[in-house]
Amino acid sequence: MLEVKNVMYYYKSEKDKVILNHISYSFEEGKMYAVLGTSGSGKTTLLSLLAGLDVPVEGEICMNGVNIMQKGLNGHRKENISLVFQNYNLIDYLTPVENVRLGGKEDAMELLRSMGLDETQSRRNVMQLSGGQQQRVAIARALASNAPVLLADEPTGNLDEDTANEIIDIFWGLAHEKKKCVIIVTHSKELAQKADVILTLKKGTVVETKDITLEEK
Amino acid sequence: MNVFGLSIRSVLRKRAKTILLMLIIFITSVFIFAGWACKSASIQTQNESKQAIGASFRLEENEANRHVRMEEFSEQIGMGISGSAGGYHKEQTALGEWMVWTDNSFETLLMEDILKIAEVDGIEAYNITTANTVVNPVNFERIEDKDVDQSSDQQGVSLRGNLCMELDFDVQKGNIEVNEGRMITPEDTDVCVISREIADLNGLQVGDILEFNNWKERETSTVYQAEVVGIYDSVSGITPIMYGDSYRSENIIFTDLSFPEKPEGNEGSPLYQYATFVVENVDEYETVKKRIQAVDIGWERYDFLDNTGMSDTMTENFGELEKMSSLILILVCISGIIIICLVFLFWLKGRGHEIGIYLSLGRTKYSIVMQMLLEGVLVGCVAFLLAAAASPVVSKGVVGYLVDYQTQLQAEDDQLNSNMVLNGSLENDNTEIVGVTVEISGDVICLSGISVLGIITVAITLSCISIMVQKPKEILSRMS
Repeated sequence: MLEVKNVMYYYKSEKDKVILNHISYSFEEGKMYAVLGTSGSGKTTLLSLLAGLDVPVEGEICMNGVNIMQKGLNGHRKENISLVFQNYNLIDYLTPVENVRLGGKEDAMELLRSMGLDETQSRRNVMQLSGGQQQRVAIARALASNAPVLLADEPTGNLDEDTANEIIDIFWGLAHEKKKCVIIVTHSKELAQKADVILTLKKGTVVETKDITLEEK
Repeated sequence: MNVFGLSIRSVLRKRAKTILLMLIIFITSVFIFAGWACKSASIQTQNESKQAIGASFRLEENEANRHVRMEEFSEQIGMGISGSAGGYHKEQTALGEWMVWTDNSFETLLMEDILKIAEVDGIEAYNITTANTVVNPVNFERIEDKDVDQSSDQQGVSLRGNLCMELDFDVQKGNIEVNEGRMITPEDTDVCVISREIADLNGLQVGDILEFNNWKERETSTVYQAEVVGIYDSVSGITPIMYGDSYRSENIIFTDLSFPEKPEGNEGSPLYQYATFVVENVDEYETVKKRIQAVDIGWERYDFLDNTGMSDTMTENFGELEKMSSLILILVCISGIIIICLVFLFWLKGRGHEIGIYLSLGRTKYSIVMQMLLEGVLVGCVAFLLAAAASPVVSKGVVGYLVDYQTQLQAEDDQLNSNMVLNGSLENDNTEIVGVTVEISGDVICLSGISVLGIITVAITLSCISIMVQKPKEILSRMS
């Protein structure tokens, strides 16, 4: 589905410091991936490249076999990618319903309800919601676009344990019930344990791939 | 949700920033209004020594506009080039000095403009008076002060042509009376009315023929004849316009309208100095005045005086006022662009988070810039409407200040020059400003609106360059 082909990335100002060193991997639909690694290992850069927020120096990112550059990065982000961030990234002057509508044409209220927010909460200013509620709104917005790939950067980083578990369950459900490709960048090994596949990055290369579904088999 | 919906929500829900921006655009708009209003303001001046008589109006050349036209024609001819344009001439002498002069076609009131005013409903009659034209008296002697050195005088007499002598300023005011013969009518050609003093000195009578030619070429120029149809007696005298016996009251000879240009050597090119329009019904004086002011002629070329000496002067004819209002406009526009640019840069810096989210959602940078622009325009519209409401008061204040400043400068200038004038007009230029009218017309509103919209567009586009040049990842990386 989403393929990384021999991707290399470094900052043009620091050519000797390679962030991603010729990595290749193929992400599939219906699975939840966890990308682990220490700070500076290239996790967020990989996520940015997958999301079409940046372009690799070498190699290519393909969506269903087609280089995302062909369609244009804006189009790729709009049609194929949903992003969820650690700090929720909601527009502060919009209500939850309006924030979800930014994602797409899906029924915003219905999506928020499915995320556990009632009508009153959905019409409030988004900044008046708790962290967990804000992250649910962010996920609802990601779902509104109906994009096949959901990318999340430390989505539970600011949440307490119980709420984090609830959010992880939502992601798991999206991968297995909605058949989306969910890729989560995280430091949390607990979260990673719930993923179907764990990729570990070190110094810009994939040092370990652990497919839990295969192990279970 | 479309760009308009987002812009409206941003403007309404981010109130502090909206109010700040609105305040800045409001102040900028008010000054832009004032700048444009200054350019079209009219200043009512009063000059007791120049006024129409009774229920009439008087049209004269505007002195400031004369200088403006001279500058324009000089530019048209070109810097350092000898030539002529529109009756303005400049020529370099063999010594390298520049000689500049104008002919009658440059100085005269335009006949077509006079006729347009004369056709206004409520005007009963009109008169055209030529400038006093000095000519050589060929077959008679002029009145002369034997004790005065005449070497600097043209040693001539002054001809004053009238379409209808009865309406001449000095006749109307009672300064002279025609007690023998008759006055000149529009049907007359080659006729004159002389003073009692000249008639007595030369033994002239009604029916005699007087001869005149160009005072510069006394021996060679063509001699023109005019029949004496009347003799006037001086009651309180005619105020001479210049020093010298050529201009003294007794040496002024009234002629038909087209006569003075002939002995002067400019046949076919008259010099009409002022025109008088008599109102049919005194009760309709103000109504007729408004009708005349609505006539489509180049009013900036003229002073239009009523019977109180009131004159509406366009700002461009009032010293440097137009230049100052242009300067205000330029300064306000530049400072407006800089201030709104800085405010938006500050605003955008605080909105990096929001821009990053939009980019992550697949919105193009172009659509984000459009949203910012639309927000600016929405705030600008409200600020502009508020400014439009406040502009009459502010504009009047600004124009009043500039007029006072100009008057003060003029007074200082006059004081400096007072000891340097050797020969000039005997009339005191006691023009006094009695009112300033600043009209916020449709044109002013349109021009101000376009200016404000331009400033907002330029300022926001410039400040949004920072968004356009950044990669989405760079914006998003600042969010975390």
